[in-house]
Amino acid sequence: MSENEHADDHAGHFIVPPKYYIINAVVIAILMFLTIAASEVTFPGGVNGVGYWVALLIAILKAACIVSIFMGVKWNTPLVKVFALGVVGWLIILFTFPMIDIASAKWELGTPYSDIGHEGENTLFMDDDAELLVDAEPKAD
Amino acid sequence: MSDVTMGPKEPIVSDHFIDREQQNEASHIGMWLFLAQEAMFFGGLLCAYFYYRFKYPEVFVEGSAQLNVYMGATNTIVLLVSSVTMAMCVYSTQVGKWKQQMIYLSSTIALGVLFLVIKWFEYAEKWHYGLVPHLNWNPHGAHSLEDPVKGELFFSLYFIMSGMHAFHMIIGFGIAAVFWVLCWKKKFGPNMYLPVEYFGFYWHFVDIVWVFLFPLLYLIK
Repeated sequence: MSENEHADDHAGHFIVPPKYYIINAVVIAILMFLTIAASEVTFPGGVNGVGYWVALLIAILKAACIVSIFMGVKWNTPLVKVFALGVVGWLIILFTFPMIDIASAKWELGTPYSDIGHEGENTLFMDDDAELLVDAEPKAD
Repeated sequence: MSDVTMGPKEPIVSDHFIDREQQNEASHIGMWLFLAQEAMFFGGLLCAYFYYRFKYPEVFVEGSAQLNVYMGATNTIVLLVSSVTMAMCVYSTQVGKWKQQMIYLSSTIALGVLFLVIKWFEYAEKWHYGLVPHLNWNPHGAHSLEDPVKGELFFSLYFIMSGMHAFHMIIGFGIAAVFWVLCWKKKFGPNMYLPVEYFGFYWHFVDIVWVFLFPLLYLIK
């Protein structure tokens, strides 16, 4: 039986039958318990290792279920789908650059909170020869 | 049995659209553009979270251990059920069932209130233990932290992210209250359901944000 036989059609707008919502909610609930169960498993790689990516992957799956069924993108026109997927595209751009930065920069000093215990060594206040620029130090009022 | 008195008797199509289908598509695109900027807003907060989590993983593990997983999980279920009731409210509007529409919209509002009540107790617990940065910060209290300064960083992110999420829910209540009155007056029906559907979009978006916040804040091990 095709999907269109399940539902009424309002001016080309598909009305999603309630059973889809129920099934979708059950799937999301299962994924939620899977998230909690996965957090109890010791994955390789530590805090930011495999377990972190598993949690993110499950969250992305849950979000996809909400967007496609609850928000009805699955039954929308191709143009609306492009705009909905565009949100993901913008987020990928947003996350990619900071991730590259995290992966490449060696910012042990010079970032907020990083100079605790290393006072006076902050590279933001040093010249090219690693000499401390006294004038650049913030003045204590 | 559908209620034919719900909403306008005929579909309303503005002059600058060819037909109702084109009007629906254009308004859908507008709503998705709004959601895109909302996603970018929360995306910026998540970027800050990712940056500091990768930089100080042990601090995030320690901070996350102070959060109440049971309350977080309960709130996840509450929001999930509210998403179902919201979707059912949209369906009831589309097929013209006024009584169901009112029941589902009221249920959505009630579940949203329940979410915020649970959140209130969670925040009160953090206040009690002195884990609210700047306002009531006592990391050497009942829940002593290894590194209080960096621990404050985790809780700052926790309160900003979950607080902005809760703020979006409060905005949702304002919209829901207006919609409740309009639904009560039978302003929405099979020929005028897009406003209800778009409020549903907003509500589902808030649910999506929580779907990411729950594992990222509560389940770090």
